[in-house]
Amino acid sequence: MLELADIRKSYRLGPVEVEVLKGIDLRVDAGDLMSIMGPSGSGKSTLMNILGLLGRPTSGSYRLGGRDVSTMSDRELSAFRNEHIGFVFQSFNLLGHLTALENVALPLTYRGMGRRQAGRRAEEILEKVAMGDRLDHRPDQLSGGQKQRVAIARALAGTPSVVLADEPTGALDSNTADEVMQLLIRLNRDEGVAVVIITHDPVVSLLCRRQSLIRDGMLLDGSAEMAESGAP
Amino acid sequence: MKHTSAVFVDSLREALRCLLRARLRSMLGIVGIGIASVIAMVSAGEIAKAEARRQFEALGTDIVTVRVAGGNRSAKMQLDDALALAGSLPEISAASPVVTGAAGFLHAGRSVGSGSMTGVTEAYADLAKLEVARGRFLSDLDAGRFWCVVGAKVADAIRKAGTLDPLAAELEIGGHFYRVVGVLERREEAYGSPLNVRADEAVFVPVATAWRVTRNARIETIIARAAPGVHHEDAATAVAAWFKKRTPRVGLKAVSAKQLIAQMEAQLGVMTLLLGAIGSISLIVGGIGVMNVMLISVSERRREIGVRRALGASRGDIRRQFLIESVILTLTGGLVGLAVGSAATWGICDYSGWEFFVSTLSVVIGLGVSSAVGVFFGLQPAHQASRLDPIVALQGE
Ligand SMILES: Nc1ncnc2c1ncn2[C@@H]1O[C@H](COP(=O)(O)OP(=O)(O)OP(=O)(O)O)[C@@H](O)[C@H]1O
Ligand SMILES: [Mg+2]
Repeated sequence: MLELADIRKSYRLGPVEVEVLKGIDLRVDAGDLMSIMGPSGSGKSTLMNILGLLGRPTSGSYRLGGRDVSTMSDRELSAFRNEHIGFVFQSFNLLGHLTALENVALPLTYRGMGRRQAGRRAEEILEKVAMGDRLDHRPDQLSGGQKQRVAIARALAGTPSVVLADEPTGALDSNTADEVMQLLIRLNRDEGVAVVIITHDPVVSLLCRRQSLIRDGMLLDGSAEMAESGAP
Repeated sequence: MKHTSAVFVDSLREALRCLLRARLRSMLGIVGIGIASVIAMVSAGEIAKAEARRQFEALGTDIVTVRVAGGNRSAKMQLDDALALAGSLPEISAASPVVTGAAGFLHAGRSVGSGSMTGVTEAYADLAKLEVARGRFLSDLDAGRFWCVVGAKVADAIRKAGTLDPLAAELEIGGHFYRVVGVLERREEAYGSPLNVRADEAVFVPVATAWRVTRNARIETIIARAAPGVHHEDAATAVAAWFKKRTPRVGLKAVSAKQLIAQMEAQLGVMTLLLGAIGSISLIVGGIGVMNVMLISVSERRREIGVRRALGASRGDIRRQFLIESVILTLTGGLVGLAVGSAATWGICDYSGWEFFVSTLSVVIGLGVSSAVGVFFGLQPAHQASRLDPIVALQGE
């Protein structure tokens, strides 16, 4: 469903070129639940942006939904992103002047769905994340955990192939973080959507079926890493 | 394109939110002034034109006006020459010279009007479509007599001065006494009436009398009517040619009603130019202000732009959103301007005695121009918003 091969990304900083990703190979299949860990500055968010079609790699190939995305125009990429990707951010990124319902409906309106239909779908999905009684609340009327639940509903509204969550629990206390993780796990199981979670928290990582690590610009699959180091 | 309506609703809400900010309000005020000027310009112009047409049509478009040039350079037009026109030209069915005499009408020692007496011939009544309410109009047989016909307001004033029946009353004008032989029907007349006479406030006397008693009497105008079947411009040409032969040294200009309308419209051009200048300047200033507000809005809303991009908005969607917002803003200013401009036009009409109407053209132009200002000055901010790198935008404050 999603396949990276030899993805490299380098940034120019004045005269020096810094290669952040040095040949990443990655496959994510439907229904996967995967974590990516790594030290700060190791390129986790950079990889996530490439996966989410927000940034282009310097080289390498990326196939999503059976298509090579490297030649797509901005228009096609945006439509593809709308169709296949759901983002969950550390800082929620809900639009402050919209209600929970309107926030969740937003990705649907970008694919041309009518307001009423998008509203119905948004309500349905908000009920799934136990936010059905907060439809008309604005983000500043919600707690951190509630905001993240709305954000997760927004990511799922368009039935994407994969949900990309960049430190989704980073701004939450441990109880709330656990709730959010349980929600992601449940949605992954019930809806069959693939979920990729970037995290610094080993506890969060261990909740995922598949774990991986970015180090020195390379992605190490969790199982291999563990086999190498002999860790459990 | 398919999701334009959703983007539109979003933009509408955002624009309304922005509207509540003071800085923006002042910018919109300026856009409003601009549109108001445009509206006033277009409507007043339209109304004045319509007014001119209406008045000329009331007189008939077959009217030919001879304007006699004053001043020292050209010779003076003699009364005989002016009177001779009526019977000498087949292209003309009737004509009357107009001589302006002394000002100020007195009756029983009280003022009954401040206008100037007007010397005309019998034909004038028909030329100016004057209706007599009581008595009769002047006759060519009255030539040299001290008789007069008074307008409705003058007659009112005479009654107020204590004389119940204005007919046969005596008026003192410039030291001479005139007997009232007729009272005209009331008729509202606007400023800028093609004959330059407001009949309600006028006193008409035989032209020969006016000519004789007025010091330095001058014929300023001769009003004529084209004969049936003669085109008004041909009549004007024939009149000019006839005078050129008969009084070669007198400077004059014969113009048809249609040409007079064109002249009036040209005079309106000055006002149009002025309002146009005010309008364009304030539209440019307001437009730049709106552009600034939009640029600030774009930088304040970088994160929102990033989020929208992440949710699947294309560059085109973002550009469209901000363009729509800016058009909604200027349109709001435009609507205010439309109201203010229409009110101003109403004021102008009220002052000038014109019939007020909201011209469709002005509404179309007002809304069109304000949208165009929104698009024009919104392009740069919208472009900037659409060009933001979504990754950078998402990190933005
Ligand atoms: N636009 C950019 N220009 C230059 N360097 C960049 C840019 N974006 C990221 N980098 C660099 O790339 C490296 C990886 O950044 P990235 O944000 O992917 O790290 P990360 O693994 O997500 O870190 P963290 O855990 O702190 O979020 C960092 O060294 C960063 O400085
Ligand atoms: Mg990061």
